Amino acid sequence: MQLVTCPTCGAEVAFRSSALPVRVCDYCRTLVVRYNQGAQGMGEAGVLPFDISPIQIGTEGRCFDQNFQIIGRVRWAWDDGAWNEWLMLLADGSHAWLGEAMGQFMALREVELTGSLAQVIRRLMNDTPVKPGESGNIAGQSYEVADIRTVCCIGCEGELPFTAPIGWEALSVDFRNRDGRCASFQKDRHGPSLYVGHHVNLASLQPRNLRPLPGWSLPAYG
Amino acid sequence: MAEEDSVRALSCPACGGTIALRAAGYTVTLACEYCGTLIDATDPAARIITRYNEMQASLAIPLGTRGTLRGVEWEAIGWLQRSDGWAIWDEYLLFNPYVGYRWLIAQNGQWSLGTMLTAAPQRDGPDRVVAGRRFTPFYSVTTARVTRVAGEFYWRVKPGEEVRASDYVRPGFMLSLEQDDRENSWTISELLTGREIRAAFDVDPPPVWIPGMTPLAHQPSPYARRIKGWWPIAALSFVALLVLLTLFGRTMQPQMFSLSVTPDGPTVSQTFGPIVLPLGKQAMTVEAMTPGVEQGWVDIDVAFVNRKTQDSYDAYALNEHYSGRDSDGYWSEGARSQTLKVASLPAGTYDLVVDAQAHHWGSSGNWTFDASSSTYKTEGQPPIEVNLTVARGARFTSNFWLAVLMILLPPLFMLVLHILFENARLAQKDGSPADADDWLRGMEAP
Amino acid sequence: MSRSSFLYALWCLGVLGLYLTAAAQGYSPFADGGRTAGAARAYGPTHK
Repeated sequence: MQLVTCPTCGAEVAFRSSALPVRVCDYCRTLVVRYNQGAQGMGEAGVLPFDISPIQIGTEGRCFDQNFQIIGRVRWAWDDGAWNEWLMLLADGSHAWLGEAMGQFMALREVELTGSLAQVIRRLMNDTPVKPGESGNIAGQSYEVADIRTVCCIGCEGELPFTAPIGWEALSVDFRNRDGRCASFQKDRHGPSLYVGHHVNLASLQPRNLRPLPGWSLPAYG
Repeated sequence: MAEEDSVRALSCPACGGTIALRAAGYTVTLACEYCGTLIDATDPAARIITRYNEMQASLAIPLGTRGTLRGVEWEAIGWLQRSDGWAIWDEYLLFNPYVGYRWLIAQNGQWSLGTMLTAAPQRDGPDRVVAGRRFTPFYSVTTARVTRVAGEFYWRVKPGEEVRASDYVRPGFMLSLEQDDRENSWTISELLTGREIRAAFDVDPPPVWIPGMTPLAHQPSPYARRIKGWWPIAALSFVALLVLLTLFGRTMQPQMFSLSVTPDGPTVSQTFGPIVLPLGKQAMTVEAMTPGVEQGWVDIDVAFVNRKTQDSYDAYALNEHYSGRDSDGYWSEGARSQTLKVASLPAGTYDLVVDAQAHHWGSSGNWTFDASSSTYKTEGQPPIEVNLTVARGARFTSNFWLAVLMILLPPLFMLVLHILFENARLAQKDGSPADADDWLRGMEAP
Repeated sequence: MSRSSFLYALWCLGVLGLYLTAAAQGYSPFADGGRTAGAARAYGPTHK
């Protein structure tokens, strides 16, 4: 755990993970980037709208055969909706993403964009448009393009592996296959990234410390 | 950040009515339940998408109602009414923040619980398979159009919105595919029993099917279940009847009597006895054998006469035998022996009074014309021996078959109703007409 | 056991009971003979 002073408001900012460079200051919403001994403010994070997601920062559970803790969140919006991407800190120090939309979850880990890539991925990297239904092999499994969206980051909180300022836009392409696996390709001004994972539901994560929602009884999981 | 309530109240920008936002963060479109105006829930200013001025109908499940179904508490947050040009049905969007979304589909008073699938089903020829369960095609591509909307939805729904729909069924379940330009979505709906839906939400009970009504595509035949449950009982009863038939069908203490009667001679009457009947009531079997009858008949009247009360229990047998030769060879017909079964004789000592008369139709022998009866009577025929075996008890196989018929009547009635039900259900099927396969699937357990 | 199966089992028991009663009385609706129909009953010797 590393403690840093927020360059904008002077509040104490704690970094739980040693690997992640960015944290949203809880008080002034500055994106605090740390390096070596110091910290720098790099823009402001958007205010997250009210939602009733059952996940919160601090929720714990089990995914990818490891225990995890939720330490951050990015909210993405597109023309016809929005969803949360929760950052999971896994027990081995690596991180993964838990995408949450419509009560369904996708657990995704970043994979290297190297080696032989499916043609659909290469076309996306070259900014060539693709259509829903096109298929390709990712990490040894066959996937189909489910949807293609231009998304915009509308807010974030907690610790993050990248700065996510307001107005940050990206192209996001979701893939799915028959066995419940999924993949996601993202490209923004920093470059492309590819994530691979599977669908989960809340119960299978064996979650603890879920957000209590007034009017709803917390189910007994884990 | 502490919240007072999960539900956010807002004023409809069109009519001012207070409406609720229950699934904040997920809801994309909010349709005012009072005026029908569509509001963009992703816009912080709650921008109007389309203004309507139409009071929405009172719903079977009002928005905001909570109900517990299969151990999970759900809130009904949205409602839409859809039509495919033939049928109209209601769909209620159920929400639980920890479990996600489900659908309650109401059609013809029947309720189904719908769950969206995350992965497409496997194909097997024209069928689809989900988790090892097979669904056969029922409705091929139809167009389902939204006619009315109220409450919250996670996509940009609007009245008039259309999707192409195909449905596959197995008893109790429907697998639906909905396609628009962007994506395919698969949903499995399970038909709920009246008890289950009414325990969760206070709705009217589903109507009981009677011939003339059309069942839903995935409605399981209640008669198939009954027939399956009943046939072991029927088989057991059949075996029990067989056992009873053998137990109670024995004849005991046979007594033999004989008399002779001359064909075309005078009626012979003889009394035999005593025959003692010990039980309160019993049947008697009388076997009347006339091995010598040929080209004629012997009429044998028997009467059991109770010595004390003089009550008479009668039966009669007609033994006959004819034979000859024609172009096909030798032929014969008739029975030289008859078995009579006399029912329910009370206890007592009886005499058997036998009257016998015989006639011969032969071409040989002498005839004389008898003026009194205007018939030809033969003369000089040898007497025919009548041997009677009287035994206590009787095997009434007619009783047995009558009982078997009564055992089978209710299952046969269920079978008739099942055929009527499945006929009406399968008549709605698109594509190739229903074949034996469809009928067999209709008999499967849900 | 469902309610309809229970009721059907009762029905079958009833049929078996009816069959047993008939067997105990030596009765059959299809018997060749029985009581002479009608109340006309001769008293006194009817033997010929």
